[in-house]
Amino acid sequence: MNGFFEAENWKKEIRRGVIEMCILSLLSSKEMYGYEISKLLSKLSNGILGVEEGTLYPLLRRLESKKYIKGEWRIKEGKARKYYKILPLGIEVLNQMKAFWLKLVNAVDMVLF
Amino acid sequence: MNEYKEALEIVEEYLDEVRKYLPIESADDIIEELRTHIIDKANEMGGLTVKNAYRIIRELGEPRELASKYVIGGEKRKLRFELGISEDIYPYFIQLVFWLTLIIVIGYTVRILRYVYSAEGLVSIAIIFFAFVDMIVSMLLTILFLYIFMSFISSNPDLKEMFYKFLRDIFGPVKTERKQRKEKIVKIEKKIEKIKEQVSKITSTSVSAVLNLFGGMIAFIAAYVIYIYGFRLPFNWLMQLLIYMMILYLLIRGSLNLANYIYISYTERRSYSFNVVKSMVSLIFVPWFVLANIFTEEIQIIILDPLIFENNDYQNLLNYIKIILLPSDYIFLAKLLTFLILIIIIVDAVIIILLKYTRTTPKKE
Repeated sequence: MNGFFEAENWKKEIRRGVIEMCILSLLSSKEMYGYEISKLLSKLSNGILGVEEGTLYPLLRRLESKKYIKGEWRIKEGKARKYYKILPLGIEVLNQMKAFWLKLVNAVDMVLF
Repeated sequence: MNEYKEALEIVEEYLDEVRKYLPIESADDIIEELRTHIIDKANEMGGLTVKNAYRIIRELGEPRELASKYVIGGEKRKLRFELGISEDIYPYFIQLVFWLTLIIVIGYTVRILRYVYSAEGLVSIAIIFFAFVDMIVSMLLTILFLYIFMSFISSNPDLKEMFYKFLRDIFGPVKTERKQRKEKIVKIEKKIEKIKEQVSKITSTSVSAVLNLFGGMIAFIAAYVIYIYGFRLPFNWLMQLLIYMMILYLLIRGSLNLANYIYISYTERRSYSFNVVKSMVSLIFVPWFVLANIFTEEIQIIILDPLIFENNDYQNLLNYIKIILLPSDYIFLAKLLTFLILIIIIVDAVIIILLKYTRTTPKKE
């Protein structure tokens, strides 16, 4: 049973590492609000990357303070929501991340299989 | 409609609680975003109902924890300062005040008693007085320092978190925290109300606890001083009786005050019975005032010989104190005054007893 919990922790760490990249990637296609990001992440990844809302919003804020993304209050469909869009620095970081991700996945594959 | 309102209230109370732990400069924005999130999600779940509100809140997590995610590593850490101690560490503030004032009072009482024992004459009265002033100033400064220090801690969420854990290890979890653990987020609305009430109660009770401690110590020391010096002066039977009465009165009042102090500190509740008993204690003086009213010409007064100012000999104060019988011109006035005081003591006690039995007893939880 212990192994299960240990593995869960490891999965959590990995997820935390890639979630920033995935959010940046989603925002590079179009601007979105927090809840939309949360739903889309979960849907596209079949729930594997589903992130708790209590974690997502602070994370968005951190990305904002690093100037990767920018949030703006806007009224759409009669509702005021904070929409996030990716900034040039965010795009640059995302590209670097993606390039490394491909390398990483290949390297890990080679080691494992 | 009613349920929607209720659900909205739950959401707002939750957000208020989160806001307390957020950095002020970004709180509005964060809270607004969380609010839109909750409403969006609720709409998707079929509308904002009480049940949905609780579910969404539970998913967002405990207010302090949620806020800490925004603070730690998020914003740049700036040390902030605002007066006021936050609710969760307030009980510890009270405990610290309790222990520190107790230590100060014990320390100074030992000091004052040493003065009294080593004194040969009234020389030390001034020293005792200054030691008292010293004690009160030390207490006030200690409380002020503690208040400012804990306000500073309260203004900085991560510092507060650390300090909170540290205090909890020393003093153990406080009552409010134990309650919080049990009820969790599900009962937030009721809890906030309770905490607010409790804090105002604790503030007023802690003040009255400290006042009781003060009063008690002063009464004991005054009784001791009167005991030491009162009988050295050549008083007649009436005045000696008064001295006995005063010592008795001060001892009873002192014990009552200390008992009340301990009671308040441990139960965080004020006792109305103590106040009633306290006012009854003044009745001890009734027989004396009756006697004083009858034998008014026996009343003695203390005067200070004006020679002391000429000789500048304040060191030997005792030698300049003279005791004389009340001048005959004042006897009528004294009769009037003793009678009035007698009436006041009786009426005061009667009124307080009447109040005690006619008032509605305060609600107990």
